[in-house]
This record gives sequence, structure tokens and C-alpha cells, in this order.
Amino acid sequence: MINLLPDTKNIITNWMRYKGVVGVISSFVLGGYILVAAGSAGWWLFLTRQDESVKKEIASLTQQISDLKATETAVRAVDERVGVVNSFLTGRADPAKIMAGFLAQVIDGVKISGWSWKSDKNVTVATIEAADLQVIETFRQKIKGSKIINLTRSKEGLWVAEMQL
Amino acid sequence: MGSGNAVVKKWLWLAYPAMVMLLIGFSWQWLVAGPDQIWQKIAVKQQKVAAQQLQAASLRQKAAVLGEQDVNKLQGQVGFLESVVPVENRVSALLALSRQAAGGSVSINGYKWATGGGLTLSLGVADLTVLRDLLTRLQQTIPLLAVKSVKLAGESAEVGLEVAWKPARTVEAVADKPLPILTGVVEQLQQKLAVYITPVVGVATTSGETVKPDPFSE
Repeated sequence: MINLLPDTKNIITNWMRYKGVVGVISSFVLGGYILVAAGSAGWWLFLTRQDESVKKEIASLTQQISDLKATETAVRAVDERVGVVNSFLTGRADPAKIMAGFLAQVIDGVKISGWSWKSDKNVTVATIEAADLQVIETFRQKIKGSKIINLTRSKEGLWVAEMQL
Repeated sequence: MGSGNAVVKKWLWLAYPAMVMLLIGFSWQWLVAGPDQIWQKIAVKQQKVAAQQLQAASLRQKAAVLGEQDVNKLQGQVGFLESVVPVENRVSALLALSRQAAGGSVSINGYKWATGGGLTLSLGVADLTVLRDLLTRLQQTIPLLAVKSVKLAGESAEVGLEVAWKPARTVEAVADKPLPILTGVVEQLQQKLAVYITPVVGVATTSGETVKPDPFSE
């Protein structure tokens, strides 16, 4: 005869084998959970206290700085004027330097009869005179980037060249 | 009934892991996945606190630097810097400075005021070297000058000058804005400009009167 009823006794007996392991695992999981939860709560509490403490410090420092308002304004005024002075010193063109470079190229046989320069156009023009045209050409070659913009002959028979430097 | 209780008693040990699972299941909602998301809140708060600590460190440093400053010294430095680049167009200084720069090597034959507020000098110069030296000296003055144009023809030259100036800009203290670094900056400028010439626009006398010398008198 076939017994169709469940064998409750056997099922319980089989499950009872895992009782110990399940209990240990559950304890570990519960312990871990409690640690994580307590850690999170503790960390939250720590951060909250730190937040309050930093906020208080910021308020106190802001007040200190506010009390030194006149000093801060003076520091910023100095910085602003330093910027103005440096900007002017570095921004202005120096014709003396341009001229010094030009004079260093002078060769015998050339007379410089004129020199002009404008800061807004940044163009330098020199008028030179020489008896020999080749001397003028030699002079031009010595000054890098220069070009002759006008060449005439004077009554005295000298070559007069206007050079853009 | 008695056998039923016995079965329940036999399965009771499963209540413990079931409760642990339920506890974790619900708290997972609270800690990670739920609307509160405590871990996310912790992360946000941590970032906020870190940012505030940085701000506090910056303010602490600013307060320390400000505490070391001497207002009178700073105001003196502003005064020096405003003498180098004045807050108003001091065209009157141009003539005195030009004369001092010219010295004995260059004769000033005349001058005219330019419409833009500058000055054009007519000079007698022997050669280009003298003119170059004059230009060098003109750019070493306090207040600072800018040479705008130079025109030399033979032994006469015309030099266009402008004096540096810039109106004062209103500056305000801003508590949470970092301070500019000024350590040694003004001192370096003072050292650099120490050799620059300054205009003699007035000589204090013992009686307290101020005598303004004729800029062209020898």
C-alpha cells in the first residue's frame, strides 16, 4: 500500500541538520548589520558635530576679518595700484631701446640726418645720407627687417634714403 | 493539538534567521534604497564639511595675514604708488620732469601743450646719441612718463610726452575673497624706481612758503 501522506518527521529531521549553521550565519549577519548601522549612525553624528563646529569657526573668522575691514581695503588698494604701475611699465614702448639698436648698426660713410618714431603706429623712419649708393645698401642689409621707402639725390650729390626700420 | 505544538516548536529555530532577514530587508530600504538614503546623506554631508573646512582654513590664513598688516604702512605704499602713476592727469609735472631729464646736455627751445593733455618739447640736440640718452632719462621719472613720438631733423628734435595717470578704482573688502599676495611686491617696485628722478615743483622754505622755480631758469 502506498502512503501518500508527507513524512513530517523525516522532513523536520532533515532540516534540523542545518539549524546550527543557519544560527551561526544569522548571528554573523546580525552582528555585521549592527556594526554597520552603529558605524553609520556614529559617523553621521560625528559629521553633524563637525559641521556645527566648522560653521561656528567660519562665523567667528568672518567676524574677525570684518573687524579688519580697513586693513583689507588698504591691501586691495595697494594691489590695485601695483597692477596699474606694472601695467604701465610693461605696456609703454621704449623708443630709447629702438634707437640704441639702430645706432649700434652705424657704419662709416653714413650720416643719419633724421629719425622719427610714433608709439601708436610703432613705425620708425630714419633719414640717412651717403655719397655712395652701395654704402646705403650695406647699411640696409645690416638692419634686419628694414626697407628703403624713398631714395633721392641732394643738390650736393649725396644719396638721401628714408628707411623704415 | 499536542502534535501541532510539537511541530511548531521544531520549526521555531527558523524564526531567528527569518527575523534577521526581515530586519536587513527593511533597513536596506532605509540605509540605501529608500527615500532617506542615509549613506547618500552622509556622503553629501562629508563633502559639505570638507568644503567648509577648506573655507575655514582659507579664512584662518586671511585673518592671520590681515592681523600682521600695518594700515599706516599700507596707506604709505598707496601714496608711493599714486605718486608713480597719479590718480589724476598731472600735466604740470611734465615740464619740470623734462627739464630735469634734459639737464645740461640738451637745450629746451620751446614747448607746447597737446590737446590730449600731453606736452611736445622742441629740443636742440647735437646728435642721435644725446637724443637716445634723453629718451632713456625721460622714461626714468616719477611720475612715470610715456614718450609718444620722437622726430629728429638735423640738430632739432620734437618729443611728444604724456604723463601716466589712472583714476582710483573703488576697492571693497570682501570677507570670503582671498587676499592678493603682496609680499615684497611694493618693496621690489620701490627698489626698481629708486634711481628714477622726481620733479622739483616746489621748494619748502623755512618760513613755510613754497617757491615754485621757473622751469627754464638756469
